Amino acid sequence: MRCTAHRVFWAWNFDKEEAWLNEQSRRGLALVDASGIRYVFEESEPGAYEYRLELLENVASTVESRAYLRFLEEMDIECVATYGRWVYLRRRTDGAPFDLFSDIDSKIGHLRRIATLLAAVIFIQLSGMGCLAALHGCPPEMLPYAVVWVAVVALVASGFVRVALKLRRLKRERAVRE
Amino acid sequence: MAMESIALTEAVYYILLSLDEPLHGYGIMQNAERLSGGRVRLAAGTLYGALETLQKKCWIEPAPGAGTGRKKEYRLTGTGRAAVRAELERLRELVDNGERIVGEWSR
Repeated sequence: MRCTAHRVFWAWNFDKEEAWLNEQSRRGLALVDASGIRYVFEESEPGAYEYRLELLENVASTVESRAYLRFLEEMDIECVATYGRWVYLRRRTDGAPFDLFSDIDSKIGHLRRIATLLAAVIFIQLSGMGCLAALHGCPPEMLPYAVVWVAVVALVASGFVRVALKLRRLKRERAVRE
Repeated sequence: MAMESIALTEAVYYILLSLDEPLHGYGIMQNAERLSGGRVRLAAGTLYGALETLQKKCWIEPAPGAGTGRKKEYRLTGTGRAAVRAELERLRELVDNGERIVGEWSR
C-alpha cells in the first residue's frame, strides 16, 4: 500500500531530509520514489531500510553516474529515486551502520559539490538581478519582486554558509587525521 | 624513479593490500574489515572514489574476465605494488621511531 507526502527540504538540509526518511522507515514507511517535494512511501517492516542521499558529480543518466550506481548495487545499495544529480539510496538494515563516506576526504568532496551547486545558484540569481537592474533600474512597481528575489538569494546564501561552515570544520579535522 | 613520499590513507592502503589477486568491491570491503579486526570500514562512496583514483594513477587496473552479470574486479599493477612497498617502508620508519622514543618515556 502506497502513500504520498509533500515536504520541502532545501539542498543544504539534505542531512535533515535523510533523517526524516529514516524516521519514516523506522515507522514502517519505506521511500520508493521521490521527485522534488513529492515523496512516495510503501508499507514495509519497521526499520527494514536505511536511507542516504548523495549529490552526484553528473546527472544520474550519464555513463559515469550509471557506473557508480551499478557499483553501489554490487554493494547491496539500491537507488530508489533520482532527482537531477540527487540520488536516493537505501540498504537493508543489518546492524552495521550505513554510510556512503567513511573518510574525511570523501565527505569533503561531497560537501564541496553541494557548496558549488549553491554558489552557482546564488551567482545566477545575482547576475540576473544585476542585468535587470542595469537595463531597467528598479521602478517602484518592481519593488515587491525585487524584495522577494533578494529574500530568495539571502535564503540560499544562508544555506551556503551552513555548508561552508561544515566544510571548514572537516578541513580542520583533516589537518589532524583522516 | 622516486616514488612521491606522501602518506597513503588507510582506505587506500587496505584496498591495495587486497588486490594481489583480482577482487571486486564487496570483497575488498570485507577484506579490509577482516584485516583490521573490524576497525576499517570502507563505505561504498569512499571505496568507489578511491578505486577510480587508483585506476587513474595506474596503481590498479580492471581484471579481465568479468563478463556481464559478474561483479567488476580489480588487481594491482606493477606500479601499485611498488607503491605498497614504499608505503610499508614509510610505516616501518614511523613505528621504529615511535617505539624507540616512546620506549624512553617515563610517563
